[in-house]
Amino acid sequence: MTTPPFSDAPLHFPFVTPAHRTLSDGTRLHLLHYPNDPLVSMTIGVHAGAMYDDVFGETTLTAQLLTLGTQLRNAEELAVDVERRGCSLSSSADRDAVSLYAAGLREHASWLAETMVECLLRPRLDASELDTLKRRRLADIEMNLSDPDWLAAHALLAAQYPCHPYANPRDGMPSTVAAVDGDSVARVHARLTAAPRDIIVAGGFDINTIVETFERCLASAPATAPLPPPVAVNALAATASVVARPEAVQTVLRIAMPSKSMLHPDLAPQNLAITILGGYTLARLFSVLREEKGYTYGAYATNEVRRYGQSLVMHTSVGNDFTKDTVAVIADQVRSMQRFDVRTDEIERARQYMLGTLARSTETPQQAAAMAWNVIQYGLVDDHYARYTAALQQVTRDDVAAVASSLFDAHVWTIAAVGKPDVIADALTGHVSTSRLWDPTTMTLSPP
Amino acid sequence: MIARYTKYGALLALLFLTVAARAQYKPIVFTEYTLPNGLHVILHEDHSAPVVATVLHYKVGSRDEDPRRTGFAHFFEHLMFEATDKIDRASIDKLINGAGGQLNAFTSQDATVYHFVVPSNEVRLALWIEAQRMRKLQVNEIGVETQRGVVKEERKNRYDNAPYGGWMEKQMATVFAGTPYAWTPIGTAQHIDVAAIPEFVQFYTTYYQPNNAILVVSGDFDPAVVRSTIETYFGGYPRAAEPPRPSFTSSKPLIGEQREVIQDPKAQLPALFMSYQGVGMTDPDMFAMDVLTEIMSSGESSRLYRSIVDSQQTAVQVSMFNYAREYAGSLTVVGIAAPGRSLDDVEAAIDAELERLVSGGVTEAEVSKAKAIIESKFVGQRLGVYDKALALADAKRFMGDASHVNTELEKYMAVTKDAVTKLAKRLLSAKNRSVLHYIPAKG
Repeated sequence: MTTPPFSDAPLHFPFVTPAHRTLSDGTRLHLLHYPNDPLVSMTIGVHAGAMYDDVFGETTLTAQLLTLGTQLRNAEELAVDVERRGCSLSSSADRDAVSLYAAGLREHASWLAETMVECLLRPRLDASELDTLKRRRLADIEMNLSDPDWLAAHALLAAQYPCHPYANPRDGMPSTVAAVDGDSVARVHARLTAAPRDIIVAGGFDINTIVETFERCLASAPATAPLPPPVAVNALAATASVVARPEAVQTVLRIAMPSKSMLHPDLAPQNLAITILGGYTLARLFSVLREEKGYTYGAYATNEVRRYGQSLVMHTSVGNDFTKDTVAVIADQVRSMQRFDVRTDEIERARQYMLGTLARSTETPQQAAAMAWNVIQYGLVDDHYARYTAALQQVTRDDVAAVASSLFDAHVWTIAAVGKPDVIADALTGHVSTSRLWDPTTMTLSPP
Repeated sequence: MIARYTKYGALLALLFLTVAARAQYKPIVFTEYTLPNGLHVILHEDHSAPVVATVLHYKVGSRDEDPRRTGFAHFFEHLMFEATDKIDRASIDKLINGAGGQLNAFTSQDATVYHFVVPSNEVRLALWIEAQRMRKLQVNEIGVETQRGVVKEERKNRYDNAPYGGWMEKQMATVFAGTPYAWTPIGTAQHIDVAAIPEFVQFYTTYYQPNNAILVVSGDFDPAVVRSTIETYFGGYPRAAEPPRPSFTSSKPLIGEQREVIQDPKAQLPALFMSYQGVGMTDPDMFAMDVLTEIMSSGESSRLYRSIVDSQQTAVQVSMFNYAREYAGSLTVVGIAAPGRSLDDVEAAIDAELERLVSGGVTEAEVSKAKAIIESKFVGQRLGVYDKALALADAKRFMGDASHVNTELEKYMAVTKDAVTKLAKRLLSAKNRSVLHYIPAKG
């Protein structure tokens, strides 16, 4: 055998479309049924995330309190009940939604459904648990302040979403966490019970039993009107958001440019272009910065999507000595992509990578549930992934080139950099017009 | 009398939950055979998704290294993505990713493992690449020089630029002193820097041989096609001399406490890392060990969490885990102090819980709960084709029998309260341990 044995056999993509039920309280139930699967997982997604905070951190804290005791069981009793069945139960908030998640062996499906609703509708919201959570949150914030990747991600958000709730600290700041009290938690909980919600059940379960269980448990708490979306803003173009860490041996870089939404008809060619630049280990950023130059352990580009905003984000960590050349290399690559100086084999490899990724994402019910959540969250059609796969297979070079010419523009990018200030200043010269310091303790940008 | 009835009722309910769950675990069906050159092959079919995983497990890890040349095994994990006779430099990624697959590798003290997950129509490509780099790797200056840079950056990323980054190196050096487990796979940068090309070639020739490897193919494939492909690609390599194995019977007993305080400018909160000699993968107590660590630190009803994080609020995080290698393990407790609390407070609280464990043992209810958690995890970790391939390779290598994947759960379920208590007494009665205190150092 002297050449790689590539295959041209077609792949079959077994995307599972959920069955839907709307319960009498307005809750939408999405069922991904795998009759032979030994496990079941459930997600209750409430469309009222941390971006609606009045006091930063209050939604995250309330979300965590949901699984720390109910009116029927205190936190310890609930934990014991869950864990003695070998199940898991958790809750969290991102900027767009609050989620309860549970998983376990299939015979616990009804019990898990009842328990999740109990947590959502009748949490104990215990004052001592809140105090404990707040202390822990303050410690977490301390920990985060030592994590250069966390700092870079938040410094970038501040510049990407100025005066927008996405730039607010989802987990709060020391001063706001301290201000969260029983009243704020009760107010957030009222918001959560009234907001629209979707439930995804994936794996092995009895359909009739699970529908009946959720119907019975949720009937008393109808969801009302959706919360208003935030006002859209533009990122601070040609701006750097810098976090000074004089002791750092590496610089963490995150660089963003505006991208198109999940609903845009050019989604497939756009994502193909991003994949060519940095979507995987043979993409340009990885090939040049790691394989050719040995500057870094990894360098990637992704389309970071939120419900009300999205961006192409490039990210890497490099030694101080390599920071300047790394920024120059990234700028060169962005310009090259904009001119679409791209070989045909780069397009085909990226396309195959994306198709293979889609094939690999059909392995488990939990993967199908994650896709279903994207469909719900971004308002996509049920067969979005089948359509997207077909579009990806048909995209032409001209389609990708047309998207790339507007997508890649180093004049409008926004850069977050964490590391030694003098190294960063030298590296960014000529690549941004404004450089501002981001203060991790107040999570604000200095004036221009 | 009522209390007695309730207790038994709860116990019966727990037993029922356990029995019902175990009935759902579907054994992994596989076939296995050995090529004349010694390559052991395991095939597992799963046609639920159009995906195939290959795992090629080489029996070489950092324990096989010359102590003056640490980091070699991990360095080879990187070098194996360089050129072969028929594959250009740095294009293995391109071949696999370009075919829609995913690839990676990892190095432990015991093994170096390469894995691909590819769309099912590309299984032949995955096997061709593995066969190429098993015996046709080009070990030359350009590849070595490039990967030297990459490995140094990996070290900075994981160790030098991360809070508490050096704890594992320090712990291994103490807990496994005098054994080949005393250094971590990342090794010492200077050893790789000074090594010459012939040394790398020698390492490759010694360990990257068919009779030093286990190949697992798992997923959506035609077994006849895969068998003949393996024969074609791997069958022509001759059997090599058996590689030397370091002598390793057991770790030198750790006597007393070895303490160190580290000022860490990257850390924001003080952290404690406390390690005892634990249990290795082949130790019969391994199953009791996992039950013990589940009881102590898995979930919010676990002992350490309930007591130290939730009730006393001395720490924001406490965990206990056994880092199991083939012949030895380290049992580590990690505690991160809550703001305003000292590491002495954390250490005292952990010690109190360990003393309670040693003196009072564990309860039947705790063992039942731990088994239920293990059972769920076990089922969850046997769903994907890659996870199953990895489990089959590990079972063959470390247990000597791939079918161990299907009997492992029974062994967990057979663990008794007394076995867990006895193990805890054996490992934790005396303070024979390494204790590291990481203190945030500003500026």
